[in-house]
Amino acid sequence: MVFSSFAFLFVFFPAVLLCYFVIRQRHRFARNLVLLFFSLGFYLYGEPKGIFVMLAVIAVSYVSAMAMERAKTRAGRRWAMGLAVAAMVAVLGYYKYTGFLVENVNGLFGLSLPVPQIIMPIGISFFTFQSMSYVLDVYRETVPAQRNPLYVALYVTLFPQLVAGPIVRYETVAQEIVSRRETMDDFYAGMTRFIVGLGKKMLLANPLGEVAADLFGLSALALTPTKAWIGAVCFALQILFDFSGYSDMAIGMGRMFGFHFLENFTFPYICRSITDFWRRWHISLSTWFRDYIYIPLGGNRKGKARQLLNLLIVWTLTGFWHGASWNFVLWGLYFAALLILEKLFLGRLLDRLPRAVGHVYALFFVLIGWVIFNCTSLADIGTYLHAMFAGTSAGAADWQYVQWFLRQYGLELLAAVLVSTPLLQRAVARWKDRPLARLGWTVWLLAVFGLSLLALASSSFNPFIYFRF
Amino acid sequence: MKKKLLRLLLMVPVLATLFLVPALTALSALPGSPLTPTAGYSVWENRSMADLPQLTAESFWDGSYFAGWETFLSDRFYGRDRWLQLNTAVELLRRRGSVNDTVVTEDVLLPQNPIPDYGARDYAAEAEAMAAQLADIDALVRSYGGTFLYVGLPEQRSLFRDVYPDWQENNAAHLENTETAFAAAMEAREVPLLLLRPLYEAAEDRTALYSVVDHHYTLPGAYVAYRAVCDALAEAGWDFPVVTEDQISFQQLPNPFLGTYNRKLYGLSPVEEQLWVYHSEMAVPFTRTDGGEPVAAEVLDLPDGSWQYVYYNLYMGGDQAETVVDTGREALPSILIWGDSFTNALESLAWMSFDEMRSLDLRYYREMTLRQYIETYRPDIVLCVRDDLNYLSTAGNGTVQ
Repeated sequence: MVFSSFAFLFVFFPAVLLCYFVIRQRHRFARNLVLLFFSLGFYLYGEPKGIFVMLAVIAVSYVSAMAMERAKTRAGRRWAMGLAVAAMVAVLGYYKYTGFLVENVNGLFGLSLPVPQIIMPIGISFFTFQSMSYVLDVYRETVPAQRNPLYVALYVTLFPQLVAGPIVRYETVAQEIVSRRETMDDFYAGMTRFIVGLGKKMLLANPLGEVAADLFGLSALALTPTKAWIGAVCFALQILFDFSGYSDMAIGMGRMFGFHFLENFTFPYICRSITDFWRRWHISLSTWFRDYIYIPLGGNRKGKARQLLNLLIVWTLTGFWHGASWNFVLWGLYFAALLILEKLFLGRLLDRLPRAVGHVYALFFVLIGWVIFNCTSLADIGTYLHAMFAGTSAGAADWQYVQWFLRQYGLELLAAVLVSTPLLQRAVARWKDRPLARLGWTVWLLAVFGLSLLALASSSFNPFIYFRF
Repeated sequence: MKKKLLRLLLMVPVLATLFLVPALTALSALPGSPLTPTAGYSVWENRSMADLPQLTAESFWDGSYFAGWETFLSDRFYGRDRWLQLNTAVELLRRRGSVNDTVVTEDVLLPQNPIPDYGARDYAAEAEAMAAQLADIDALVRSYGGTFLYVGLPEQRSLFRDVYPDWQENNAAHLENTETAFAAAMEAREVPLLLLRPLYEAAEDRTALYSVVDHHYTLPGAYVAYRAVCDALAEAGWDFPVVTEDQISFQQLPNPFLGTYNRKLYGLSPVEEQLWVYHSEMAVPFTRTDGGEPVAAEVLDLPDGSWQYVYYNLYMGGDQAETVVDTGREALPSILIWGDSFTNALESLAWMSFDEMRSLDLRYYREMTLRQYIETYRPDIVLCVRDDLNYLSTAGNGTVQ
């Protein structure tokens, strides 16, 4: 079930709000049970068979954490943690990477082993990572093990972040699961955030996504440099607003129920370097890899060479996490290479150059990264990049397309560019607390909500990109 | 304004929408409800709305039950048509390049063309393959003394290609390449071909002959095709009564006409049109069968009242797999017409000139191959009627075997 669907907005969401808030605040356990019940229903709706995989992962997390609590030796704790993490990696590997592995073994050794058709449970990358986060946090004694299995289940399945993140760390919400306070302030702030996210998805990501889908789908002969660049820009904006819109909705709904999730995006396209970009983009994933892979591998504490190797490992895994396909591996290695260069000398050089140079450099390489990300094969990546940099212009036909694109999607493009920067926020900062500005903001939000619903009513183009991970 | 009041100003309408839409949807579905539920068929979208999914163990576990709910809800939420209409109004107000994939010009509604991506196509080879198949049919018909004629019509977007704004893709190059290659291949194979685009392009008022809200021609436009076909068949030596201009009169129905494109604008189209019907003294008694079953002897499916929407399927009752109209005049030649929906308006006129008129739509007809059908019934005249978007298409009525 996607948030921007009729089933969610007009059945699931009102039902969960009603059932949740009809219970008095002091009955915390009952409210949590309502959330758990609806969260399981939310997952069941989209993935009836996959729910057993998720429940198994939750059971492993719970048992492992309890075993760590009861273990009398450090080795015992390590075994409990290691087995749980191994089990979760195995689950992720089986469902996500078996087919890819067999295909490549066949290709490499000329075999014809049957490629298993395994249906990947929705959001498996997210719920396994959240479960691992819980197990690892308990192992590190950052948090105590949760004795109530229903609360572990609630942490993993909480519907706002279940299938597309942000990846919420157990330590972030451990306290709020057992004792939080829902307030009118939070409810209002959450609703505001939800509407902003819905608007990003319906009014910006979807229309620009249509352009990107059309242009990335063109054959090499029809893909001119103009179209290729427009396609890349549209995809970059689509993926930003698709994913950050979803995160906004998740964070907003969490807040309506009293949870305070951490931010997942902070204007990534105003970055001045690739290092800066990854501090701003999908923050919950970057910090997960930093805290659970990069730092345990030694981070930057074991010399330059080891640091660079650690970066390579982390970014190969990051690429693989996004999908079982070589383009994602290449995408991860591409960013690893850029980050390594920045660590070696480029970062220091960029610091000395004017800020604009940093912005152009970072945006350029991020854009190329999205082309690698969005092309499904290495051949397609080559074709698309060739069109961008060495393609043949179609002259008047290109100009005709540009005119059409601006008439059809110019408003969305302008809005997307503006919203992807903090310019608007800064522009209104001086007046935002004035009564008229508050009224204007409220009317604006209502308009965004109304237009999003109208777009939803008429839209059949409604995929959430991050669901495929 | 107080902070709390401002919050309520946002929260109340949003929550009211979230709760009222499902409540009104459920209430409207109750028997005896004063609210009108969303109809089971959408005239605007030309499709049936989804029904409630059936719960079975299989549909539950494979996810299709829940997917069915998703479709059901998005098809049946309360006031759906008004929502879509409002969205269309907003889009029209924005003056976008196209609204709901429809290019809105001052006089004509046209479809939004996709980005041209035909570079890899070998028009000559595709045309040669199609012409070779049609030559086989021509040879088959000639083998028993019959006549085969391929009638090529411009599709609406093709005839009005010059009406597209400069910044809109009109696919002119693709259409030209298709027609040129097809005509050359047919000529090389000596297959009789009647291309009617020049005839329509030369008309003083093209909008009288081709619909401004639909992708077909008008009935007067179909009459132009009918007369051109009659002339071509007369040249081939056939003798049959031709309905002349003074033997037929055309009238416009007062009903609102929903064509392919104005229906996409949910009743907000700035361009409208009335559908044509005719009266002719040449009409004679006849019988009609559809798919072998006797049906009412009608070629115009007229509405019950002037308030009803009418569609292009008024002609011959729309696309049928097989229709036989028999006038019982054995001295006249028999004819087989096969093709897409352009045949419908033409057939609603052509039947008056022949003994038996058979009509096939190979998109739906499954009993025999076209070749077997011709061998079985041996019609004197065989017409293939297709539009220029489909000259090279081997799908549907291009499945010539």
